[in-house]
Amino acid sequence: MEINKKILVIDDEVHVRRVIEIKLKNKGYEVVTAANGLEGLEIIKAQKPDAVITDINMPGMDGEALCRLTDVLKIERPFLTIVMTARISPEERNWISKLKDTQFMEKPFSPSKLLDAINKYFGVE
Amino acid sequence: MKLPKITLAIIILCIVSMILLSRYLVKQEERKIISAVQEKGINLVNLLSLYPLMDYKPDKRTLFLQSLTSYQGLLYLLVHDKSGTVVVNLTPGDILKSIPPEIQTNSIYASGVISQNFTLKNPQATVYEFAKPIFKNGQKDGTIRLGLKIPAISAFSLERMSFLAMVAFFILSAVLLVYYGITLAIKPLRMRQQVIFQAEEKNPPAGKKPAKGDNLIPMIEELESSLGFMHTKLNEMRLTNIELYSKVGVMSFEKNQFIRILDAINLGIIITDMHNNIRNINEYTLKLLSRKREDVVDHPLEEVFPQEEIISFVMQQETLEHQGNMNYRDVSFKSFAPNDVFRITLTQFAGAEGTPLGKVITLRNVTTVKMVQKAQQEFIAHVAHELRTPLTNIKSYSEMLMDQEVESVEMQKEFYNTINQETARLSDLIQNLMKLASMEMGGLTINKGLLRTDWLVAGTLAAVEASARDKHITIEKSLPDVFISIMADKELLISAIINVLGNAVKYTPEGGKITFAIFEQDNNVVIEITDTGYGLAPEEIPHIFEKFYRSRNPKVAQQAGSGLGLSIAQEIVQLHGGDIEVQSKLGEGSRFTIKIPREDYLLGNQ
Repeated sequence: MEINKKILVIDDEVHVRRVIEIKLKNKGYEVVTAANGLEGLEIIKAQKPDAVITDINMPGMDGEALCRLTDVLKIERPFLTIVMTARISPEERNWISKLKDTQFMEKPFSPSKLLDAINKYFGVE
Repeated sequence: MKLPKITLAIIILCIVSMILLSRYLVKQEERKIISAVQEKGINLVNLLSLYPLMDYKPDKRTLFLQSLTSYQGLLYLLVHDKSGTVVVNLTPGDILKSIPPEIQTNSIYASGVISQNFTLKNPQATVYEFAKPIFKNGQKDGTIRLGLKIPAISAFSLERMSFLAMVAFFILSAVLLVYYGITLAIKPLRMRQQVIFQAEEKNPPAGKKPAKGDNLIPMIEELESSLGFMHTKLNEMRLTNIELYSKVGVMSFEKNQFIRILDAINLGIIITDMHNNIRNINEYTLKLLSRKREDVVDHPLEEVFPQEEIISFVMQQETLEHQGNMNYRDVSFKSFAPNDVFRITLTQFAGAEGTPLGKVITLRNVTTVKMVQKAQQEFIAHVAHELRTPLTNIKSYSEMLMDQEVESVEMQKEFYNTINQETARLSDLIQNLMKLASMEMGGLTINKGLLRTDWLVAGTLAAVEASARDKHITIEKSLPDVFISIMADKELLISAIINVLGNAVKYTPEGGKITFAIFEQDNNVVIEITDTGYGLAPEEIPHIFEKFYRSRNPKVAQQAGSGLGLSIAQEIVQLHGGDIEVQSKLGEGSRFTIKIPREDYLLGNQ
């Protein structure tokens, strides 16, 4: 079954990218990956994904900067952002809660729960 | 005629001394009343300034203050707002007009309790004015002023007259007693005189010597005994004097000791009275303020700490007294120590009867404590992050396998492999953390023994050979002909070298070269590990021994690592009294130099 939605996965940890990619592809999503925020931003601009799953703490450009930036970009085209992090402080929760269409998921994460969240957003059974 | 003259003199003396005494008593009472009025005024103005008068509704405020005007001797009561306008005026008649204007100016611009006096012409009286600023949230919100009249003192009060009469009676009695005493005392002398006269009259030339002796002996005995009594009394007094002197000496010594102790304490201490005037201040605080003791003692706190948060804290604590919680505040002094954080505490202290006497303010420099706290928090956050990374991989990979998301057997094998690797990474990390913690707490026991350096070569190279072979990295050895022995903990030193050598293998691309050298230099055994790896940027070099520091170089960052290895290696080398250094060039490689001194061995050999 093919779902016509493109999902971008940004994480500096190759294992995380890999797991999410397999999980989502098995369900039928189209998946692109990036190793840091800067690469991710390029893909967001060029390929216009329907959802973005990003880590926060990354070398290069971190997830927070990316989210704040894409929150502005989203005015043109809304998409779901799932922010994943191993370390969550009240300040981080605070800025995440203020963003539009943005959810938060704590690491270590469950790939199936992540898939559930994406399915729910797109109304996929 | 003789006797009346003396009596007259005594009477005149009595009258003069009565007058002097009564004048003295009147003055004394006046002084007592003034000091009582001052105390009353200061207490009253202090008490009133604690009420949030400015927040009351005007009618309620006036009513509240009117209940106080019945206070004996209260002449007037004025409340000014912060602009100086009178908002409450409880003043009978035209007294307000008779107050000299400079008194009002002084009161309104006072920063603490102020007391001043002036003479009122109609009705004739001395008036003491007390004023205190009203504070709200540490800001001056207004001024409260009150005037107290000194009650008139009559020189002929009934008490004083009866007291004077009593004194006169005592003086008269004393004079009479002394007179009687003198007569008694000279009686034996007179008798002797009489006897001598009588004897001389009977036998003018040859005196009756035995009779003379008969009279003299008891007299001399009497005199001697009284002399002896006086002598013992004198001795007793001398002893009490010595005792008193030594007590005074001990007291002043103790006082000086107390001041010296205050000065020796590594803590700022300021002691104030009830009106926030500085009574005592220790050396630490003076140094902090860079001021002299005499410029500070007896000055108001507000003057010494202008516009500092300490004042608002002290004011707040005054009103919040006995609430108990949060009795400290961390502040920094913008004007003299802007980079340091001080913890201020305030304690009220009281006299024997529980009457408050003043406050003890302490200032403790908590800058380093705060820094350590922050570093600890950062460390814990970092550890949590580092532990979660392998855990995340283990959890997600195992869940994928359980959910049968991976079909190909090849890939399944890869997944199991990753889980295995990540578990090893986690256990490595935990081991490193334990090692680090035991070293930080000083709990790591270092078992030094005679160690031949060739053992270091075998023990360390074996650990990295496999991974070096996988990456086709050649390891060249440059070893001395004769191996030097050092005093060292074999296991610890080997693990430190493995950490450095392991990094060299990990961060050197395929086909690279590593040189492992041991030699002696300036009484040190030097272990040098040189690689042709990715190298370090100059700005990274100062940080590589920091805990959890990992290079931002993507080639390095993509390799698994805890960022603890070099930090542990450095700790171990330093435990041996040695040193670890790095030279590196980005894109060319790095050279780590470990130096272990030989002194211990030489000493052990002697």
